[in-house]
Amino acid sequence: MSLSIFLAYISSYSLIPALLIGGIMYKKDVFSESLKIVYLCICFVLLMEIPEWVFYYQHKKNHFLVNIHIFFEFFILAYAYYHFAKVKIQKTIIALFMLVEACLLPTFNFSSWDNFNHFNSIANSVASLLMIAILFMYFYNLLQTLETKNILKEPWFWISAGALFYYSGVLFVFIFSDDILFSQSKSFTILWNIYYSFLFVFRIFLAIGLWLSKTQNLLNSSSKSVLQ
Amino acid sequence: MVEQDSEFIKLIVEVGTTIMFLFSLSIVTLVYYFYGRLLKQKYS
Repeated sequence: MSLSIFLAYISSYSLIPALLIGGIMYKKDVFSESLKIVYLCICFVLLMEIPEWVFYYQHKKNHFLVNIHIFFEFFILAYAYYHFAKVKIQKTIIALFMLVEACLLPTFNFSSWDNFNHFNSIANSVASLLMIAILFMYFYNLLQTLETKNILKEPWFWISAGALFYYSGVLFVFIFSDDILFSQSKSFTILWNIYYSFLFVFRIFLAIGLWLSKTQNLLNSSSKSVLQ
Repeated sequence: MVEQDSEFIKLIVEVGTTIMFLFSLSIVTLVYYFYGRLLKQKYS
């Protein structure tokens, strides 16, 4: 088994802890509305990963599925932050970011199946940049409001930290994805492993964040927002 | 020529990813550090 496939497996399996913990916490009804949206995002990602692997085993290109996966993952996560924000200006900015990403839909080349089934570096790179901006807004407001006693027990801090590692880590891989995915050189295609590694980190942080949702509720009984 | 381009792109991706990772790591560390300090200031 090559390193790429091993990392792809590991990053896919790392979704299981987040899914299980999320399921337990959802059943215990400790999630705020925004965390429910994050859990919805995890369920969506799982639904997308199954056909991605099926395509892989059938030796078919699954780039269009990865495009849809990254596109909607950005949308659902951005919507969770939109839901989390209370001040209108920040909701407007996040909504605008979502609109910008939606406007990039035409960059998916619909002219032929081969073109459509091609990794969309423009939309995915812009999604990474916009998410980094949303996460900066979150961290700025976290420091302004100081609502949680222990930041390490704040679920959104872990989720945002994981998302920041992932989206900033994969930015350059997405920008040069055309060169990386279609290169003949093996040492060059190995760069795609960066994507799997950061995906793994993000999913582990997601699982930690969802696990801490119970702790957060014990510290702050009321549902609070830091995006103020 | 093509190989040179590939090597150059590979270098950009490796350096860019390292910088972005260190950048995000420092942001998270700084947020954690300043949060503790600000909280101490607020409640001291």
